[in-house]
Amino acid sequence: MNIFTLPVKNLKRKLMRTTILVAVFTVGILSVVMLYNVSETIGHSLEKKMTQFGANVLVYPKSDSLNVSYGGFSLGNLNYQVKYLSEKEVMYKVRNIEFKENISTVAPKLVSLTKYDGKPVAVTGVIWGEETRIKSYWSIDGKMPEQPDEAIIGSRAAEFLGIAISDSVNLGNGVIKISGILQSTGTEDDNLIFADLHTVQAYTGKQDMVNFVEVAALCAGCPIEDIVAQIQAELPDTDINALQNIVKQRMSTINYVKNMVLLVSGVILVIACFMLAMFMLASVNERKKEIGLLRAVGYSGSKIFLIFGFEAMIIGCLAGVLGYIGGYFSSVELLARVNIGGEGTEIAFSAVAMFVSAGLVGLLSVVSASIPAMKATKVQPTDVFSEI
Amino acid sequence: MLSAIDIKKSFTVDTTTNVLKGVTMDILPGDFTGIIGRSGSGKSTLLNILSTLLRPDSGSVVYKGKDLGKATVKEINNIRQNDFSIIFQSFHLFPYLTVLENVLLPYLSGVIPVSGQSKTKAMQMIERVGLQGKENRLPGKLSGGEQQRVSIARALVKNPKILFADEPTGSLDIKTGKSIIELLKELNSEGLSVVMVTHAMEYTKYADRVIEMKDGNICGTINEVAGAV
Repeated sequence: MNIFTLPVKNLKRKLMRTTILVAVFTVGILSVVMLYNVSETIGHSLEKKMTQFGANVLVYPKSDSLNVSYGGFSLGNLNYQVKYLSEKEVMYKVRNIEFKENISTVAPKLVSLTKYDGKPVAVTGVIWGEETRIKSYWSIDGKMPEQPDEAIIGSRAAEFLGIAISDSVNLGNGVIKISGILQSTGTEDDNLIFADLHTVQAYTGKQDMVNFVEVAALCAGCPIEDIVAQIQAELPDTDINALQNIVKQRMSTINYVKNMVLLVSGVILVIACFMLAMFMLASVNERKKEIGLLRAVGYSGSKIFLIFGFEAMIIGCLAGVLGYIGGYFSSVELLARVNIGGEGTEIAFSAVAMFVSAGLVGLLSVVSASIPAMKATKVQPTDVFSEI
Repeated sequence: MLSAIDIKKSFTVDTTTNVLKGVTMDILPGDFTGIIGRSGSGKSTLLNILSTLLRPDSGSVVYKGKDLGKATVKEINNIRQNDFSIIFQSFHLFPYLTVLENVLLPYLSGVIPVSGQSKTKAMQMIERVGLQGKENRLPGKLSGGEQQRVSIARALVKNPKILFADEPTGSLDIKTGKSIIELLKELNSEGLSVVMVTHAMEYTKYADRVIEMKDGNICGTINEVAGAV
């Protein structure tokens, strides 16, 4: 038995009221945890999905001669005949920036001109694994290249040049074989031939050389400007073009969801705290005689505050634990029902997070109860004993 | 031991009422002091000022040579915890605590759990007031007299120097009330100073000294009444 016996026994005495209050507070915390989990999962899921539809950072050598656009985005002044980037250096350095966890895809490209039947055509060397990650929308008639010398051709180029599957195209000192035709994408890809980067480098005598690199960065945890600055620091002789409009569009979608969740969570928490404060205020008013007696036997104001603060903390911690557990299972169930998420977006149950949440909610409860508790400390024995 | 010097106190509700108009009195060690008077005479206000529950508008209360008007809140709390105790007409027991827990209440003010020694002391007090075997009952399961005995045990558990009793028999029948006063007298005979406010004249015979209040003043003092019984 100690000073905490009083709040614990009081809560037990009013079990029904305590249970209802904890239940209401739990529902509030549950909603907040669920909304947070769902919004985080949806945010990551959205970002992952959006990343599959293109890069958001372009790295290319400093140049000043030719305006080139690619994929609908300006590449700045690219003169691929003059300056190149080192494939290994760029790949290594981009993959090892401070925010490397945010780098999803690094897709280097080497563009080389050739002729087919006397007509010029550009062959773009790509790393297939990286390229298909940012172009998940590609659809191929035939098959994706499986051999180093196999390539695919855009539908418009195929039609213009009269190239069919299994046809061969000369490139530098080698020959590439068309294994598939890219269905119309509505982009410059329709006009190009795509081949394995290292094959193109070997056939054109440009080993380790690339014209530019497309980077897909996940920007949920950091601003794109930071990623650009870090790449720029690693590769000072390059120009970097962050496709801010794309990033901002993606982030605004995600941030909208998160801001909505933040707002709703805030309202729920404020209401829950308000209810707790009202409960504590009623409790103080009901127990004025008890408080008066405690003061009469020498309890200080801080001890009285401790009693009511601890009572609120018990309610808050209970609601925090139950709300976290409930929120976890609710969000898992909700995501499963609406089929959002997918691989890599599962919500992990964390005991540490649960106890931290309980602690924070407990603290919030004490803050909520502070005004009633302060009121309790002002009660004097002579204020409440009728016989005085 | 405890002196009230020219105590004045007024309350204002719509109009100002001067409840105490300059009361001076002493509480002597081991005395059983009765304070009597009609309703509104100021006897309960005087008791509350003597027991530190109320501060006078003017005048001073001196305990062990220290003016309590100049004491800090901490010093007042210490006096309430260790030197003074008070019992009320309405017992003021915590309904959700057992008899033992109610008696231990003065010890429950800390974070450190109550020691076995304190529990033993509380059990002794429960036994002393004749409630042995009822220490685990809730107050709601006790009679009025038993509840007042619990409040007396609570008041005595820290060995106070002075016990203030404000109409301790006010909520009890005559027989039970008499048994409570007899208990207070027994405790007084063991060395405890008792200051009791009552309007029941029949209980003044237990007091060593009776102070009669009228309109905020002491209008008379009768010494060694008990000796005359």
